[in-house]
Amino acid sequence: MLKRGVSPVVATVLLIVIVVVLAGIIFLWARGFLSESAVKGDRVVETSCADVKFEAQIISNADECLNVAGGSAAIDINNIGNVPIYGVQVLKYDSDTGSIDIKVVDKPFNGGTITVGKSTSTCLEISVSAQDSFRVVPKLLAEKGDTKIAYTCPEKDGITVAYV
Amino acid sequence: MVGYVLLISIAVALATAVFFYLKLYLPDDKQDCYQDIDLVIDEASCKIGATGSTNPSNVSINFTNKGLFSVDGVFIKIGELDRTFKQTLNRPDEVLMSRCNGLNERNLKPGATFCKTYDYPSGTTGVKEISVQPFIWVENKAVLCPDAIVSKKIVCNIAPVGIP
Repeated sequence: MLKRGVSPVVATVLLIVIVVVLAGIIFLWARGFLSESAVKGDRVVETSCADVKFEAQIISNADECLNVAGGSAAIDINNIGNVPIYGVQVLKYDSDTGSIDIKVVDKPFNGGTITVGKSTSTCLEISVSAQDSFRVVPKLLAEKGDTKIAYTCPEKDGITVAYV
Repeated sequence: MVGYVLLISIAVALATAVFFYLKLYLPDDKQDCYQDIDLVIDEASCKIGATGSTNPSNVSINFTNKGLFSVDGVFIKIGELDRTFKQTLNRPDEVLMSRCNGLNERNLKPGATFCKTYDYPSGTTGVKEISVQPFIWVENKAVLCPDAIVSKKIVCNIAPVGIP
């Protein structure tokens, strides 16, 4: 018994249609995906976060914060890496639960971005006591479309600072 | 024939899209400082101008490159002994030309010593810490050497009147 397959023309048309549809799906997926990413320079900002290197210190009574309402604690940041740091997010460990849900500070630095090699100090507007522990997460200035945004790095790229 | 053209075009377009996607998401080559950069602070002193005197407050520092590579620039910073925040005394982009041994080159070669006195207008008396953080230029970018930071404790005293 003779079995007839699809003709070469139909097979070619089918292949082209499948490839075009697949390409369309991939294009739509990638467009939505890429437009969500904030970039710094010519790469996504997440990869810059991994390169941020800084020192942080919590000071209970900083001279420059003595007249600040809420408390005279400050955080010193020293940028020892090669990525400019726009600001910090400071999270306090909850001594009862061990979680770090308490957001203390989430803002850019007063004097602007800390460029490579520079340091700065920011008032925390809280009081700190012995054994308080904080997670300091860097914020970077990134671009999303045509606008500049302050991107908070993932928590893993931060450092833990204990006030002793 | 049209089918082949379409397929090849789509393949090229997909390859281009994948290339730019990977370029965006994969980290660049990380620029690192040489391992064997080593500075030593030979001498540092600090004088604070007395109130009402014409003597300015200043900080003098001598340091030597004891490492195996030239240093292109440094951040010279001073601050309180127990604080991470430090004020930058020098202009880091200026070349290290002020040498004790009279040599004028654009960078600090191994074995060379740098000496200079910097104004310290906001200086106060007490024990301070002076630190020197070297960097090198790589592709027109300053690359810090975080493992080569050297620090020294100095005491800032009021300069005797009449002695600059």
